[in-house]
Amino acid sequence: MTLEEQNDKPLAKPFNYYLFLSLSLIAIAFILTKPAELFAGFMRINFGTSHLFTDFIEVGGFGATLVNASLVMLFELLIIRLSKANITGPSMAALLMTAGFAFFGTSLFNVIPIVLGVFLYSQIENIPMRNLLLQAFMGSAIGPLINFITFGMGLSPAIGYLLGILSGILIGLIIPPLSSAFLRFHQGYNLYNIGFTAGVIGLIAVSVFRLFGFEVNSVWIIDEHAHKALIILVSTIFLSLIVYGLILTKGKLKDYPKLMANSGRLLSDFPVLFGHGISFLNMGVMGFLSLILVLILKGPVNGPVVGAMLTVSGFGALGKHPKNTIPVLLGATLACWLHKDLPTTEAIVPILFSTTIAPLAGRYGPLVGLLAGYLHIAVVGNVLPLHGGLNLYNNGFSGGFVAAFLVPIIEALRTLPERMKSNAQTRITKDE
Amino acid sequence: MHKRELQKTSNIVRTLCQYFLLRGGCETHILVQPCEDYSLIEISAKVNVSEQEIQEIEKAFNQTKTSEMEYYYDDLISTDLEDNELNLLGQMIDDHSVTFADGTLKITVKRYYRED
Repeated sequence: MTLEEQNDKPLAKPFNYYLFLSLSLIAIAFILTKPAELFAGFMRINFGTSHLFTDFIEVGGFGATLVNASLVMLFELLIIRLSKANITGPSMAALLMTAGFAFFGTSLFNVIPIVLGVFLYSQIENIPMRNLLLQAFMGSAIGPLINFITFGMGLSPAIGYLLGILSGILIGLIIPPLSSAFLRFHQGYNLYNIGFTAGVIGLIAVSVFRLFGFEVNSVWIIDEHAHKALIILVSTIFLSLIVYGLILTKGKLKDYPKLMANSGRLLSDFPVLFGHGISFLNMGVMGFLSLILVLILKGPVNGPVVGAMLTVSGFGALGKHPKNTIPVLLGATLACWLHKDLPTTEAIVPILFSTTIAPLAGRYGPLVGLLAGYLHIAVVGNVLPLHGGLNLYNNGFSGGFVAAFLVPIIEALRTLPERMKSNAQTRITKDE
Repeated sequence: MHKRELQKTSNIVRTLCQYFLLRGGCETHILVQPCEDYSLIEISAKVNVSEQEIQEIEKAFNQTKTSEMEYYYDDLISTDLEDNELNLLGQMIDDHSVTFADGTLKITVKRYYRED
């Protein structure tokens, strides 16, 4: 059965929700901020460096950040409409994730060249653009590389813009084949696979920069004033997801336990497997779960934390649910409690993003989830300098390593009793 | 035929083969038939499967198809022997028949080549 057969208007439900959300964000921005301030803030957000951690609320203001998030989403919706793509789990996750990262790093300026590059790739390889939307949207993870080349290397504006935009197009050309290849590295247990791909691209790019004497280091520009407004904003978004989910399901939640029984390993496309209604509901639940955790830990709520919460919520359509995320969150929280300053942005952001490896808990149980979350915190800080913060999905980069490290070990241990019983070996020896 | 489609056909065969071997299939018969616009794969063997497992196969194969996601995620197929493999396979096939009689499970799947 195709989506078209399943539904008269396959695009309508999620498309209309995201359109409504985008327009609402713009409306809120214009209600709260004068147009001149919005314009000035939007320009500062788009035309400056944006690598980790650049909180756009601090750079351009609350209203301009909302406009940026909204325009990124509207641009992606336009591409979805033009390419006649279905909106299922991966695209629902990508839309909310990129909107979240539009609070700290993703901007219209660095999204467009990457999408253009992916479009060129689709033309060269003769692949429909709708098959490459995920790579096109999530490819914006490495968007700050474009900003760094354009604004951060001290080049003349003409050369800076030319090289920056060309590098974005080049990223778009290489990200589809690379992201497919890296899926096998972690066997689908790292949900932010393109974050891993972007991390590798960032690592290569920064190494080349350093070869030419350009240093790229992560920055720390964080807003400390919009705490309450942001809590109200994300609560409203999460509540709207739950309400919309309840409307679509007509209150029938019998499939929710089935969704929670799914491991979450890629490809767990929840709208395809369980319907759009349950998926929207789960997205709202995941959003509130992350917000409650932040509030319990008395953590700050700023651009990066909002981005993390929206990402967790978005992946409620693609692999995350309370059962597989809570053990990982607890493991990550425990690691931060033991080894870091817990109620800080440096701790809260990786705790929330540790859920990229939630499928490990879904597949192998809560204890493995705890261990995975703990390990994630250990690894994530060490991979950031490799790309100098140019890869926004740094936790996806780290999660790829943690999953690739844990899965073979757990598999070997899990099957050990059976193999010992049958006296079987893990590898066939030469003699045989 | 696009080379990538041959690769996909090969991945489908590998996954089905793994499925049968893991369920104790000895003497598994496989027929792979690449035609002009589709591939047909037929696989059968005496295996130990429950009624619930047959239903799981049917459910996974009957799921809604989205070619957009299948294009990206099909590289994951047969990386794991158990988890979500049938769902991934279900995304890749267009037609199927599953029969189980006298202890013999026979699965026939058809994949039409995509437009690219």
